[in-house]
Amino acid sequence: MPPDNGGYMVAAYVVTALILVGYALGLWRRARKATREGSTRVSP
Amino acid sequence: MSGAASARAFVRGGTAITLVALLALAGVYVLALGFTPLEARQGLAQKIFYLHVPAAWSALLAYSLVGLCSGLYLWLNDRRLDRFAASSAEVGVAFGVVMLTTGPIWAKPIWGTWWTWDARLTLTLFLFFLFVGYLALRAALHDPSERARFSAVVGVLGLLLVPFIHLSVYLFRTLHPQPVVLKPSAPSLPPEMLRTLLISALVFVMLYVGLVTIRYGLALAEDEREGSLDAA
Repeated sequence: MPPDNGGYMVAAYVVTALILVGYALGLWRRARKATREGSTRVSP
Repeated sequence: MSGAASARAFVRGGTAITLVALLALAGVYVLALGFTPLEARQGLAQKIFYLHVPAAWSALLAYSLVGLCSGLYLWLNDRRLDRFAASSAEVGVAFGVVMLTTGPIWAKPIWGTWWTWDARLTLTLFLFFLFVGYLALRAALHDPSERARFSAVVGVLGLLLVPFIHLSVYLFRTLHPQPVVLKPSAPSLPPEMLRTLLISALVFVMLYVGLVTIRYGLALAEDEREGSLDAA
C-alpha cells in the first residue's frame, strides 16, 4: 500500500502555483508601469 | 519602430504567451493528479516530480542561455544580448525558487530529511546564489556598459557550473536519484509518467519564453529611460 504523504504533494503544487503566478503578475505590473512611463515622457 | 513601441510589443506578446502557459500549467496539474498512475513505493509525493524536474530543467536552460548570451555579448558588444541575459537570469532565479522549494518538500517524506549537503543539492544551491548575485550586481551598477560587461563575466562563470550539476550524480556519492530521462540510454519511466513529464517540461519552457519576453520588454523600456538604447 502506498505511503500516506499527500499533504507534501498538495504543499508543493500550491507553492509552485503561488511562486509562478506571483512572479508573472509582479513582472507584468513592473513592465506595464515602465512602458507607460516611457510613452508619457515628454521629448525635449 | 521606436524603443517604447518595441517595449510595449514585447510586453503584449509575452503576456499572451504567459497567459496561455499558465492555463496549460493548470492542465498539467489535472493531468499529473488525475490521469497519471500512482507510484507504488513513494505514493502521492512522487507527483512532485512533474513540477520539480521541469522547473530544474527550465532553470538550468535559463542559466545556460545567460552564460551563452553573456559570452556572445563580451565578443560582439550587442546590447540585445545583455538585455536577454538579464531577462533570462531573473526568470531562471524564479524557476530556481520553484526547484529549491519543491525539492525539499519531496525529500522530506522520501529521504526523511528536508535537505542534505550532497554534491547535486549543494552545487544547485551555489548556482542559484550565483545568479542572485548576478542580479544584485546589475542592480548595484548604474553605468550601462560597465553593468553589462561585469555581469557578463559572472554569467559565463555560471554556465561553467551547469555541466558539473548534471554530472554530479555520476561523479559523487549522492542521495539524489540518477537521471531518468536525460541519459545515454532510453528513459527509464513508464510511458504515462514520461508523457506527463514531457508535457510539463514543454509548458515550463513556454512559460520561460513568455516571462523572458515580458522581462525583455521591461529591460528595453528601462534602457530607453536611461537613454542608453544607442550606447552599443
